Amino acid sequence: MSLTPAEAQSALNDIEKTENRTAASQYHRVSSPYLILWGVIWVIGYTVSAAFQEMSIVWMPLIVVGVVGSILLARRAPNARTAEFGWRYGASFAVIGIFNTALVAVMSPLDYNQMSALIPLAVGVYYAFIGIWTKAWRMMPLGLALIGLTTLGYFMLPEYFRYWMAAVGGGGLIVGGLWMRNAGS
Amino acid sequence: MTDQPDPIIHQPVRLKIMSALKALPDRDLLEFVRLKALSGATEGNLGAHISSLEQAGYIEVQKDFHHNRPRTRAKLTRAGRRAFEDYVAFLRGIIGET
Repeated sequence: MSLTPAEAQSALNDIEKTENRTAASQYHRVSSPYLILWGVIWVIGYTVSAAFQEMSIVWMPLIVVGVVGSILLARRAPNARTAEFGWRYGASFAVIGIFNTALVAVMSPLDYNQMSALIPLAVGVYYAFIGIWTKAWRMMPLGLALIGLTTLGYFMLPEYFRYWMAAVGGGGLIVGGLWMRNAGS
Repeated sequence: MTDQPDPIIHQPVRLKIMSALKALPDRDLLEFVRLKALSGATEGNLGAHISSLEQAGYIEVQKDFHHNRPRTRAKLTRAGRRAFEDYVAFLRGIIGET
């Protein structure tokens, strides 16, 4: 049995392609439960704060639930590499939180809709960058969709913006999480 | 390095199975259903190739129940990882890479 250089190159290409697909599938599946968790939190937070503006404080316990839930998901990860992914995911959200706090301080005064749009826009950028820089390419269309839909709702439906964000922001994250979960199966 | 490719790995579906398992961290397992998607093989075909690799000692197959459903998963053994690395080195040797 002998192989030509072209056949050997073709086999190496197949190997690289399969390894990349497997790695992408792993990244997508690891990110799935985080997206679903935060999607549910967004749906509850935006819906409650839209229906009862005085209940905006609901975000505080919800964020605590999200952070604790994310830590638990990272600890449940089956191996060191995916646990590290969870750690980075949580740390990145902390950076986004700091970034948004600084942005609000610099840009104030902001109205409620502007405040409500900031986090989804920052999260959208974060997801798009994950998609560009890692093998989890599905994060890029998810991030761009989040940015696009947030901007659309902000300008087209200002009176219903928080309901809009509950539906397309939170709902989008949940759908995105389910899309990631099905990667490679 | 040998002058012949490993006949166990040198088959398109088995090569994809080995490549997919090699992409996982050590001790990580891949579900049969995902191997099927990644290799593009039919269920029966995949089962036959997995058996060949298992008999060669290149992969280890684990069967259990997950959420009350039967689950089959596979991972590379140490011998399988070494055989795969030798196979890649063999291919690189042919195209003049070291």
